[in-house]
Amino acid sequence: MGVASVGGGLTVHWGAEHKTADGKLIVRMASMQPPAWPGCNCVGKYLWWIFKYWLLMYYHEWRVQYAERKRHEPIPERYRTGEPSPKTIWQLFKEAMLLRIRMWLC
Amino acid sequence: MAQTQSTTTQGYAEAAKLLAGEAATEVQSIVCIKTSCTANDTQTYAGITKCTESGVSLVDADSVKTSQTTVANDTVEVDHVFTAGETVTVLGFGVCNNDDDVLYALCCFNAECAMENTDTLTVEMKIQVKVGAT
Repeated sequence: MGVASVGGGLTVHWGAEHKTADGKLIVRMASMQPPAWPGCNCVGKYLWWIFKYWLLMYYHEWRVQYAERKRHEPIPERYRTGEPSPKTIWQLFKEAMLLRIRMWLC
Repeated sequence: MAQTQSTTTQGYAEAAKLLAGEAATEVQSIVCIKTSCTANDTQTYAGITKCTESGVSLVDADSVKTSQTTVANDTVEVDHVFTAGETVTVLGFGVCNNDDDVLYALCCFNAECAMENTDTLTVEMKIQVKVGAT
């Protein structure tokens, strides 16, 4: 007897917000999915996506660390909310480096 | 610390038992994870380091219901607000079954969440059942 099947399964999406008792946002975590293989013969494009994802991952990691450290101090709101998130590779690189420098200074 | 999330093979087995009408229980509990957090499908309820601190330990989630991601009722949505009763560093959270012996899914945060007494952590997890999911 032949076997037929279709693809399917479970996927997870999540969100999390850390706040003080009086409701002030300390930081909103970011949920990111690694890029899926595009299904074409385009390794270079996929590697570029992976690089962008890697930068984005570090940006959000450092953003959350910075916001947690500065929980009682005013910082740009984008570091607490994660929005707007940098879009281009250059923006990501610049923001990630800026955050790294801010973290070294604090 | 990379941000990761995953369903678990333990959860798949529990879901399959539910569909077959065998002994199994539904999504109900939620718990914060501390010390170390790795989200992959081999994780188990016993394998995660669960927070035992007041306010972030294993409890029934505030709300478990179906919702729509792509088609009506294709998603299990779990919502909860943790209120820390003491200082604790949280690295992620997991969603468990009613019997508290199966981990359905978990996520690990981008970075440590350093909670002080009375801080809140509002979490939402959506587990979508879908065609073509990876």
